[in-house]
Amino acid sequence: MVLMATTSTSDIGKLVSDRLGRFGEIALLVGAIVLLGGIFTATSPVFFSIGNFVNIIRQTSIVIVLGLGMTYVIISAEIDVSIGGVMALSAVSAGLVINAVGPFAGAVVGLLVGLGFGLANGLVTIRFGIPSFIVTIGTLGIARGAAFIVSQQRPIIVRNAAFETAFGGTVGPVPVLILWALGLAIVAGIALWRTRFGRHVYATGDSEQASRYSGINTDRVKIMTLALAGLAAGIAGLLFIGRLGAARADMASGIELAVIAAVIIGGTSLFGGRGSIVGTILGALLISVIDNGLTLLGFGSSWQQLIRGVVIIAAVALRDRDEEGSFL
Amino acid sequence: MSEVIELEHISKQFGQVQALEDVSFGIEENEVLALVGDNGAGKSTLIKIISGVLQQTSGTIYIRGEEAEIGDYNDAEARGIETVYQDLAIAPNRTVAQNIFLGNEILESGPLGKLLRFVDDDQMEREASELLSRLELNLDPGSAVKNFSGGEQQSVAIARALQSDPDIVILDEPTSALSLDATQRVLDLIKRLNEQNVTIIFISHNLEAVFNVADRAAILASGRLVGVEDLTDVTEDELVGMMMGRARQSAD
Repeated sequence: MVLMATTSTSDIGKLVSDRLGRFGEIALLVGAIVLLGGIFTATSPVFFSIGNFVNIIRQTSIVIVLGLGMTYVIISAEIDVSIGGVMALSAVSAGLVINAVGPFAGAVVGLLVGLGFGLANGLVTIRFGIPSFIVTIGTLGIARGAAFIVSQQRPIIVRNAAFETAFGGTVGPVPVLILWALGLAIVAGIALWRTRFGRHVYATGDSEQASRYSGINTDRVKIMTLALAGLAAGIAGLLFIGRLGAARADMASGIELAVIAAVIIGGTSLFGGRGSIVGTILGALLISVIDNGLTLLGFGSSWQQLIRGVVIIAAVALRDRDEEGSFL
Repeated sequence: MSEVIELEHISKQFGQVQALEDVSFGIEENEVLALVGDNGAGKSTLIKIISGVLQQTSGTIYIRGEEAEIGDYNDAEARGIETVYQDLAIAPNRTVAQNIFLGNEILESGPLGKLLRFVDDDQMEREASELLSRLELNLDPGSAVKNFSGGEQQSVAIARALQSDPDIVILDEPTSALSLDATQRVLDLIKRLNEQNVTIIFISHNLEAVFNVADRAAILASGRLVGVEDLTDVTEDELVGMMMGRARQSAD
């Protein structure tokens, strides 16, 4: 009994802050969005309107869909910078097949291109022991180059009623794009939070060694997270065609950085083991609110980039400090 | 006493390096056997062979008299062998319960019944809580492991090894990174485990700890077995001599 009392030196305050930590992070993000929303409402007459909010969410939807896969990848302590190129190649391939064969075949091809690149990223990373950062820089170039070759450097105009209804239409006042993002986020969030695979993704990123010693196939987990990121890029490619009615090889250029920023601002640790889908959605929304508000106030994309950079550094600086005060 | 594990002529070669050479001894039911030796003596290689991480180049392992091929972690677990590794193999951001059930999560039926099953955190916390109280460890199963001290984290790693109810637990340097106080608590935990009929193989450089908890010691030097001694029959100095590769100058 004496031993029972002495074995735990854990401090209740630490436990409480740990329990509140995750909710605190989410609350902080919601607070930041509300605060910025308040500032933009006060300074721009157009900001606070349903039309503008729908616009913000619609603009964010593709980043959110890409962010779902990226959240899995980063929690498993890997990274994928190829998603922009893969998304472009998926969209261009899907566009060509939709026009030549039909919407269903086009959608399948778009998804398979994304999934195939994701799987290839995972297999090369694991089988050859090359860091995923390097592998995906390579596949970013390969996919983007292939997109230019396949499209012959021309925009692929897609005019297909069924495809537009499925990916580009509206349900009442709500764009289908938002419903896709919401539905996929719910599936991805539940899978990450409640399934055995989701738990293995967290465990693999938290301690690959502990996971391996516990019988978890960490190689398979990492291959699957990278495959999911590729699949998400394929889905994002289809949503992009649905939204704009066209695919171009140079589309979504640099989107990987916006997606990684959303995931990191949303509380996912670049070192793996921590993060959430809700955080990623809020991180993406925060960036969109900043971009949208600055645009309405007449600030151009240069200011948006600058402020986005400050927000990323501030978010990580505020969060990823351990008890000793050193940055993790 | 019967032997739960018998090692017969175990050798292991890594390229040109002979890590283990013709090692034979038995581990008796419900004993605490210390595996001692200097750095590079082959202790870690030997336990990795018993726990399925490595395979021997030659020789045979018998478990309860039956020849056993231990190809991987799952083979070892199926034969009732669990290992706690030296380097605190825990996931720091996961809770105590999630660490205890790592790779072996309890599932419940989801909205699609058995087609989609969800991790049952409540049940895992309940079972972890029972296991921790059986081990007299006062740790909150719902708290992240990083909140605890080194000794407590080691206790979580040991508790995890016990989750599958093994007969044999291998502890690789469980006290090497711990303070004196934490070391004593881990040693007390090892004694309690042994009282619960768990056979323990305990690797340590800390001879005081070895004499504190172990019944016998198997001494390795340069990949060879120097001897297996009852610790009531041998002094610390004699054990050190054997670790240096000298056979014991026995009077008997």
